[in-house]
Amino acid sequence: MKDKQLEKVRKGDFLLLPHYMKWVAILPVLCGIVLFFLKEYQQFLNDDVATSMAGHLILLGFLLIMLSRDKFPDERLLNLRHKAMAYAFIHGMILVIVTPFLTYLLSSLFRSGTELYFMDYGVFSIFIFQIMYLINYWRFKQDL
Amino acid sequence: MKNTIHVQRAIHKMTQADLSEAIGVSRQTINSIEKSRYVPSTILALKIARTFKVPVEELFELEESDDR
Repeated sequence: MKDKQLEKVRKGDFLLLPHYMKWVAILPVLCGIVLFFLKEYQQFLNDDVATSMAGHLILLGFLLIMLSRDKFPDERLLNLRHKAMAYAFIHGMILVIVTPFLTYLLSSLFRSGTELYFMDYGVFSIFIFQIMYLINYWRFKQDL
Repeated sequence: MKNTIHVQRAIHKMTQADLSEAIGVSRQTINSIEKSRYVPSTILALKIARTFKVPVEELFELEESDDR
């Protein structure tokens, strides 16, 4: 391996994308949001495919933001990135587990005969992980 | 872990920005280390010591809470 590559591996940031990808990532997120709100007005895709595609575009955008390098990367930010990922995983999992019961509890307060309903968390749970990661990473960076 | 980086900076008339540039980290990282919110890696600690030309023990000191 070349010296430059070795240095990157040592720093632990060899998997990260260039900083400008943070701005490139806005494109799929915006496309996803636009597609989600305008799906009824287009004729190319059916409703389910359009919704799913919008969700995946937003996920792709957030993944690019998550994996983009900071402007001035150093060991502290790498440390915070790892910490944020760990917290995001735990917070996301707790949220996924608690949400159906919380929803059931809240809806049974207002309606009788409510059933416990577990919705498909496939896309939604990944989105939670990403949001949690970004929030935690931002929060740690503010904690100077 | 206590540290005397701000004292050494004052002795060497260096700002946080100067030190961060000398060792290749962000100014926020120097700030976090000085406030003991972030414990630097051994590599970074040695780089700071080398910049100030002092042994690393003179910069960092263990506290009672670190023994727990």
